[in-house]
Amino acid sequence: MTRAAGGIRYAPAILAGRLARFATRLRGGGSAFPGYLANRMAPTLLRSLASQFADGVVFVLGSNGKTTTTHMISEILRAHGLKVFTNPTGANLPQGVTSALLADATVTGRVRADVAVIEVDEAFAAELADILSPRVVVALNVQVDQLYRFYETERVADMMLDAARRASGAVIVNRDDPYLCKVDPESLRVTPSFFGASDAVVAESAHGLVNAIDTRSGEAGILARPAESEVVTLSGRSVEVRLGDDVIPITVPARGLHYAVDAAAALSVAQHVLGDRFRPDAAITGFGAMAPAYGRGELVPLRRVAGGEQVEFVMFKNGPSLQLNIDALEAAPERLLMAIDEGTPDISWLYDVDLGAFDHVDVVTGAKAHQIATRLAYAGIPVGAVEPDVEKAVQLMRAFPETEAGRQIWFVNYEIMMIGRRILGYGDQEVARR
Amino acid sequence: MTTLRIVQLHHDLLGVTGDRGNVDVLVARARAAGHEAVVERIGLGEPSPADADIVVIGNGPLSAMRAVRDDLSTRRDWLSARLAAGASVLAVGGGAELLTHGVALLDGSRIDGLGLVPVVVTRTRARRVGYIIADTADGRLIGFEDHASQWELDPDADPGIRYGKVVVGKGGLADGFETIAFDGVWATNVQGPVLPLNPQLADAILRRALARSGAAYEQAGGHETFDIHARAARADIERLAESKQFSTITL
Repeated sequence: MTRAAGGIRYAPAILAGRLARFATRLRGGGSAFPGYLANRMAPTLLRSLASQFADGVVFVLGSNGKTTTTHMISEILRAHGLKVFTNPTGANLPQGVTSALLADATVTGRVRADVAVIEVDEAFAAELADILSPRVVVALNVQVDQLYRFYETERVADMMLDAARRASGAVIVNRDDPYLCKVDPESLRVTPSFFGASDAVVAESAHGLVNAIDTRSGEAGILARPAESEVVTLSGRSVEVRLGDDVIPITVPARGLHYAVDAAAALSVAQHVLGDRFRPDAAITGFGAMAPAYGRGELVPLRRVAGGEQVEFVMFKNGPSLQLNIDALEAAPERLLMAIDEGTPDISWLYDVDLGAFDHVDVVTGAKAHQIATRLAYAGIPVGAVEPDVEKAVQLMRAFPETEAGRQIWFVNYEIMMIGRRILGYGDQEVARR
Repeated sequence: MTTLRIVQLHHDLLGVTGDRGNVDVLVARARAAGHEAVVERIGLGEPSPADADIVVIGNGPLSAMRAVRDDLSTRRDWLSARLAAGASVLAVGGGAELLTHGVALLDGSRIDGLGLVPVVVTRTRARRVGYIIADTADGRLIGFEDHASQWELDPDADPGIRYGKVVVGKGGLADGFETIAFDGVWATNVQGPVLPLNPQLADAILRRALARSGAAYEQAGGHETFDIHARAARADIERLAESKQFSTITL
């Protein structure tokens, strides 16, 4: 038997994975097990699959924005006519990535796409990079996140930079991130490229970019680095990004400086993947076709009535993502639900977030509802009702008269985003991230 | 009416677990009791203010502890003078550890502390993460612990300065204790942050700080705005934590 990619020897592993995938779907469970199974049966399968993408593998890393940026890169590349493999379900742990790759491969172990765009959990990025050999690694930001899991923020930066060392084609890094901008070019196989937002754009955001300060190097802030790709204007969902000498006007899927910066990163990645084939007009088309990712500015009917009042889901995972989403509000939400459950174990950081853009919160829910209410009380923000039971909270929200804007806003953590969508009748799968 | 002077040291570098929340709670509760409060936030190299009634030092990663350590040690005399004059200090996590004799790290190196708290800290491989509940003289201390530290009391120190006896969770001290409290110093691993979830502790700190200028601290109607939610949050945590305790009867 040769060591050539693919071939019949992978068929049993792929079929077993498919079968397991079908079985777990029937059961309504997550989709990580099939990948586990295939990995056990054929450890070289993944390496083989990854090596077949003609335009390589892209890794998307970052504390916040991975799913959105993965989505953006994929749509830009699709608009250029490429077939894109991605892990759209947000399965960013190794078994999830394997499962997704497996589902897309032929029975004989051939990939169908031209390029793979994969979001990867920081903690597994280097390990997966050794297997999948990414051509491009993009590192979005280092923000204070999941300290109970990562302990120290600088460790997260090192995890991303460690993975970046494995990139063979391009390393694309946030110029405005105090840790990432200090990437040592000597440690990389390629010269790093940078993206960011202009000083003027950052200055207009109430709390800037909210990236973690560097407590390690003696220089807390950023270093001056020329950005290949830079957000130069931002107004609602309209963004202009300067990419090289071109200014590209795009519409991002949701409001906020963070989405604009993700777009600058995505454009830079697309340019590195495509080289001479990159066309600004196709990139613009790609953004135009983009729907918001799960729970990131996504609209869902409140009362199961199409054309009726909608819920805008705004998901936050940590202090920085909550702050950036609050700063992106055009006005105090007319009708607002806020929810966190035990999926977010420690919410001490809620006190580091400026909630001043809220003039009230209608309903607070989730297992940590009373902790949220305590925070709101100290912030002097009136609360209409505290109802830890999410089902009942949804009933309370449905009982309100319709808003003038025809839209309620629900600020929720990941788990309650999933529960809330299901209660509203939009319970599609997105496997758990941890 | 008395004006409390609250100083938060290294709010930027040691402030990773909502530590400004502890300051907000002290201010809000002092005001609800009819007093005024002013807050000064002091960073690296900035002069310490002439006086302070309460000093708050927050939590941060090892790199931040290293970054502020020398600066903080230049404030050692200032801090002990404030304490001698009756001020109170609330220090959390990494900030609390910098007030001890020092922290022994896993790689064999050490961060020297200020020696104001009679404890030696050893960083451990195992991390202690989850809700914590401890019984104290002021009532139940409730919050979230997330640390990899073992605090060892000096052999000649009064064991009575161990503030909380752990009911649920691990705690930072041997034999199931958590938090050191003596002479106006509260050094704790409890996050949440600790004061929003523990109005009884916030009130103990405020009572002591105000007594310094002969002022009384009484709860008033305004406190209920916060405490109605804090009580419910505490009850939720107690219920959840207790449901995770085994009550199995083995036959």
